[in-house]
Amino acid sequence: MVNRIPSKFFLYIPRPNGCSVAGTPAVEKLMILMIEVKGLTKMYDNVHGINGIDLKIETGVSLGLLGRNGAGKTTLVRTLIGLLRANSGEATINGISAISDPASVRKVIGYLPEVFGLYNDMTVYNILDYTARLQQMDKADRRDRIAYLLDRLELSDIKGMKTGSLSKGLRQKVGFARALVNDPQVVFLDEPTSGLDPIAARGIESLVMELKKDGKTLLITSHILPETEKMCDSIAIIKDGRLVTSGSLADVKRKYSEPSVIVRMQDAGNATKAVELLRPMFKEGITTSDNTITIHACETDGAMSLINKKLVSADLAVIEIRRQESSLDDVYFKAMGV
Amino acid sequence: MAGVIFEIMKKELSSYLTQKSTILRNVIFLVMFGALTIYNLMRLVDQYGSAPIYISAGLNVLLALAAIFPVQMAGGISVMAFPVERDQKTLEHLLSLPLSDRQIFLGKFLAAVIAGITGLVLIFGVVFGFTFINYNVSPNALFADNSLNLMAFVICPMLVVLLILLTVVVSSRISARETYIVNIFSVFILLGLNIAVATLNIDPVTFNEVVAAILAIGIVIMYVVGTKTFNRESLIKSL
Repeated sequence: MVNRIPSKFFLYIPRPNGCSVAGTPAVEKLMILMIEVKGLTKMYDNVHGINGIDLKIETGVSLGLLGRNGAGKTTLVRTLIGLLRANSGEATINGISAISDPASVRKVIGYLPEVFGLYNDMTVYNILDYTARLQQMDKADRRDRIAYLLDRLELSDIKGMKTGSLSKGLRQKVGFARALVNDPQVVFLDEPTSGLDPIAARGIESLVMELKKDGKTLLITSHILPETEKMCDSIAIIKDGRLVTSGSLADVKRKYSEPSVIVRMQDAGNATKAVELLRPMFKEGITTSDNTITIHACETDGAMSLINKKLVSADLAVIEIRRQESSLDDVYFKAMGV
Repeated sequence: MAGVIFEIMKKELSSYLTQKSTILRNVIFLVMFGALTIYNLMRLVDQYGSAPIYISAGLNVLLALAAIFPVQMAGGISVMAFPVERDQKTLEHLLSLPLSDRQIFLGKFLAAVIAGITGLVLIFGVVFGFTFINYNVSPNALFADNSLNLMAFVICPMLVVLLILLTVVVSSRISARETYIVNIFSVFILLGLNIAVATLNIDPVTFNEVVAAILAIGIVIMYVVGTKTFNRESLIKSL
């Protein structure tokens, strides 16, 4: 297995969302870049599969790649792991070029294709062992890693069973284990819960969460938005082969949601008083419904603190003040222009 | 590199030989082509007598017919090389592993070659075993004729290798069903050779030497074409 010292570091400064409050200190963290994509283009017979994709994923981040069927998600993943040759652009994984040295890239990644099969005549153990042998792992590493994966993914009881006799959920788990045999630094999961029943899908979700805890970098393609929201900390939305947006989930949500603050008062009377108090301060507009006030404010962080001060000084009973969160559904539809 | 090729080869052979239907099919074909070759040999012996020189000349013609069996046997494993992987959806993961195109190609190809050569040994065992026992001919007498030596130990193995190469190279681009068509095409090549050996009025040794030379060139060309044109992208695009 290739263990390279990451070749690139960059100073990660959370991107201002355009509505930040002046004076908020910028949080600076030293992050290691695991995947870097610059102007990546792949064409199929003069049709763009992906077109000028730029993407950066830091180590330990799980990125959800969203888009409609045929948007270019699978093409991007296949190009990153060297299954398809890019027409132009550059992509590095852990500092290794996926364009000029795809074989080395394949040593540090694990991949679960969207539609995958298992050798039906082989047992669960033999499939993992065969994969480990093809990864050129030595005997002791193979034995230990397979034992660990069987235990971790709760496959020990069925390790002697032929995969042809397993349910779809279990087959997905075996596919997952197979993708992790080489203890990869980056794991590509192409529609990992596609076609699974809710219970099996939840099982896969919890496996993804465990991988996140292990510090793996994940790139997960999906069009199941609630699932992506649970599993990923960053998202990238791709449309017709082009990247529409990317960033942390919170940033993208801020970018595409209408910023507003929700103030819940103890009762409707308090709410009416509060509205009178706050109306001169917020030109964007205030609406009320029973004891809840919605304030449209560009700078939500600043607005929240200001509202709190104002209402407390007026001795009005406030139950809560919070920023209104958009769902990923809202963001996705807006980003897609639907 | 060799270790990975060996692992792929071992897995292919193991998957192939653990299928009961495969074993049954191969036994039926072995009996069928063994019987067909022996029946034709007996007819020739009835016509020309059982002197080693006539048996040797007869076998020189009939071994190309017998070689259909190993080609068919290897055909089964060649189909598994890519079309079955594609049908089973196992191909994409295999291609995502840190293996070179050449390692994948050679692993698959060598598994089919081993199956083919094993088939050749089996059918020759049946045919030559019958000949030695039934006609009481010594191996020295039978193989005194160079044309039979060339046919048995050079042409037939080379034919098997070439036709397997053809199947594996083509199989990366076509479906499992279409691969069987290539197999049938291979049978016609062998039957054509069989007829050519029997009917052309050329010195058998010279004829066999020419055929061996053509086959050697064919194997080299097919290997180069196979390894040069084999790539992940074309396989992935075909998924």
